[in-house]
Amino acid sequence: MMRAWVQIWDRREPPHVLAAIRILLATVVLVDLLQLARLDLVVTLYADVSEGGLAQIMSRDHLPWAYRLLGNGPGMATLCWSVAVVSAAMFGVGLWTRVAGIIFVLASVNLAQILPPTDRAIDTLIRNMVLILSFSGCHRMWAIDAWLRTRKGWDGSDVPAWPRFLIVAQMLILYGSAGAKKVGLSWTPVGDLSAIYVTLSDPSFGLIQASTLDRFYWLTQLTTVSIWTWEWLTPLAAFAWWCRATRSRSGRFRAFLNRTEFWHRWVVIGGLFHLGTILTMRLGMFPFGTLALYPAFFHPNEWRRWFGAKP
Amino acid sequence: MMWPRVRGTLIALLLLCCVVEAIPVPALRERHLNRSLAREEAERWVGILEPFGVHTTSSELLGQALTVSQEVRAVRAIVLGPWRTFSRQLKLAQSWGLFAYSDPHPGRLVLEGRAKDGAWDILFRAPNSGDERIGKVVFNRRMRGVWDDAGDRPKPGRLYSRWVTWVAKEVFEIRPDIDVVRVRFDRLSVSMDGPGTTANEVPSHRRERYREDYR
Repeated sequence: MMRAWVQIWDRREPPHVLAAIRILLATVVLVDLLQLARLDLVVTLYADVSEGGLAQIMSRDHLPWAYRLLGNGPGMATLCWSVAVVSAAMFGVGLWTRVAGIIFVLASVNLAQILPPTDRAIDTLIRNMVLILSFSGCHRMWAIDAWLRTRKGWDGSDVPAWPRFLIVAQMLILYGSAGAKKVGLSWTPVGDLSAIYVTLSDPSFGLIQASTLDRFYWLTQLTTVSIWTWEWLTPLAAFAWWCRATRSRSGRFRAFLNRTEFWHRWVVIGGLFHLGTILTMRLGMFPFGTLALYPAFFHPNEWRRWFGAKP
Repeated sequence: MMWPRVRGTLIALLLLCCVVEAIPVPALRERHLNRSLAREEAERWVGILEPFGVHTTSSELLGQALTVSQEVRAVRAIVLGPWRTFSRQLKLAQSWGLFAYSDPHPGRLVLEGRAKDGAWDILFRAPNSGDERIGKVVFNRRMRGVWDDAGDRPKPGRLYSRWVTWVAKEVFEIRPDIDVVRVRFDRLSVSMDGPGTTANEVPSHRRERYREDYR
């Protein structure tokens, strides 16, 4: 069993998917961070109150690491934000990718420590993912590092597949955990399935007018039961993913899941839910950040086939 | 040949820690269970369990939830101790909700301004009516995190007061005709009984700031 486990994580594959996720994630992060500068919020969010910020940093027992190292000063907020922006940009273009990724994670941690309410679930997810990508071969393609090394976009060599598997595992944990938490009556079939109606009625997130929501109450109930079922199907989706990778083995249920393309359907429905949140809710970069990870759900050669490239 | 085994072992440990951390055991405290959302939910569960022969009260149910939560969390803390030493430093976590707890009593952020003639005007009303410039700044996801966390709760903290001072300053810059800014959260009661039954909004956490204090 140990040998089989080691073999799974020892697989190799072309770096297309990892490189694409690196670029997509960095783009999402950069748009998010640059928006802060455009709205003139950098100092407000990341400076101490003595420098015009909202955070009471210097009176804390545990200072954010940048403030611990450099102390307080007029340019600290801009410096902390700039480190995050520059490292994210370097990570995206693939320049000193691994170092840039780790610096970005530290910069993101620092921003989170300065004003914790500004750090949302998507920031945690992105830190988790950038850390994995920093140890991956995502810099072997569509990266300045790759070009400097081989004078090509990609030299044709494979990279370890385990980072992509870990990204998929992370997404399965995310959806599975979120589904298991949805035991409140507003989510479950024993309740009234009002969760989406109630969530969309929250003026901090929802963008749909109350009268429209009232008119389409039945649709919000249908969406509630669909999301709840989809998230509770995550363990089965994990099994279907495994069945796809081992399709040559026997077993009726494996054959059924592969024949019905359960994995494809589960992934597409998940993507549609995120697209739905873009249209109906104001969640910032959350749906874009999660969708940036969706390429991991399929093998690079599948993507290449879909885009008409020769394997 | 050694490295793949080491890597396989490390990945197994990592996945184990992540899965254990992701198991949804709510970090319940008594104050959480005193909230109206928890009390309403417990009352409804009592009604659902009754036909199945489970006779309990909402306070008993909440007490049991608190006990189980505390015991499971204690065990998990022991298992995850070493992992958390590392993950806390990098703010890595596996606690995902995706709107697991829909709040039927959310607050609606409302900014009002008093012009020089003494008339009050609504400058911004969440989610998107009023001055677009104010809306863009206030609804940046990171900024929303500040007022949504600090203000839209039973007792707003000091960060809420600082945020009100800041947002009033922004409004005074955008609207030179305004002398006083009032910030409040209008508490909604979204009925779970279906559409059209939402109660009137109740104003809360009202704070005012005066232009003269910024000179």
